[in-house]
Amino acid sequence: MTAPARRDGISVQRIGDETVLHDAVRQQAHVVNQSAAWVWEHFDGIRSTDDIAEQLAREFEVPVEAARSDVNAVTDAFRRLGLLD
Amino acid sequence: MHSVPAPTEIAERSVMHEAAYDILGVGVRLRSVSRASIELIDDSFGVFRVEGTHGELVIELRADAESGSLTVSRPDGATHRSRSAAAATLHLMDELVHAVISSLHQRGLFAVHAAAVAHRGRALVLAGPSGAGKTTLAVALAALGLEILSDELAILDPATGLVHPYLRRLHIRPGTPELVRGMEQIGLRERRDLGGEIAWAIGLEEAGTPADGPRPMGAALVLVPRSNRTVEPRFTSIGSGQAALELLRGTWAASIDFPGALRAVGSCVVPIPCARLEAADPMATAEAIVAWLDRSHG
Repeated sequence: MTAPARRDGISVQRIGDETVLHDAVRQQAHVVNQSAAWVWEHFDGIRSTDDIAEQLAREFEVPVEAARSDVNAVTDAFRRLGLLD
Repeated sequence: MHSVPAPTEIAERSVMHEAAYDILGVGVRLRSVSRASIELIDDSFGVFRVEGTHGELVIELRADAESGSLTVSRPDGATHRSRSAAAATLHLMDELVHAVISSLHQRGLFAVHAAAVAHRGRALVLAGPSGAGKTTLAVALAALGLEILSDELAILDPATGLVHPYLRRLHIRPGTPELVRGMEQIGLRERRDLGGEIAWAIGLEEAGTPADGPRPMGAALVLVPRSNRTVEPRFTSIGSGQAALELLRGTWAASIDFPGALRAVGSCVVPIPCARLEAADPMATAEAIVAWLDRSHG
């Protein structure tokens, strides 16, 4: 089970309802919605994607399977963008 | 087509021509071996011209007779060489703008690459890449009676939420006069080479009513390239994070302190409606923008 970890050097800023992740090394900025930002904050390298999905399901009162699908999608997207270790 | 002297012609001159400008409280003095270069810059920035020795920031265009090159030196001492007089003049103009932008930044003001107009007292910032149609839409909106603040730089003050007028003359490309109501005569004027395919610099008062002071930020639109098939303007709402990133695109402030610039510009767009705009015919698009503003502001 993977436990994604945020890469160092990514700054986070909340702008209204959106969150901007700024990768200073690659000089890229990415806008994410509230759900993706919540997932990002939980990528601590300790919790697995399943753990995060279960917590997401509890906090936002959504089915676990839907939460798992969302977390996996967000994880893939962050990985493609090079934001994870 | 207007032209500036060849380097050898400039090099034979020993007199330095000067012009001082006060641009939003930033004093800049240009010194140049070429009178033509000053005249060309004055064509756009003459409205800011002041007499005397005003201007602590000095930018110079010098000639090196031996090498035949032209050197532009910035207030910080950095230099840039050009072989062509036209290129050196445009670089001189770029450095003038850069000096203003960096000085405004020190005062907490952010210059973003956008046109700005005002509708019912509130500023609309029109961002987009060069050639996207910012100026065309700005003059089309001015033709509908909106006040005009700038076609090139929107000067944002995050502390107050105001957009300051930047009354440099409007830079018009060929093709624009035919598309905007009341501007047809502009296309008959002699063309000048102002860089970036700009052919004419016209006063804001020729396009409409210049704003006589800052206006509170009211809305932001990001122009996206239109396709030939676009027959009606299309608005797509975007969040304030996306809007802030679009406004910061290519800005000097973002290049030196991205998080700080994002925080500042983000604070300007959070409370206002923001959208992407795929423009169609300029006058039809301008009318759609006014309707969008009226809907958005209730």
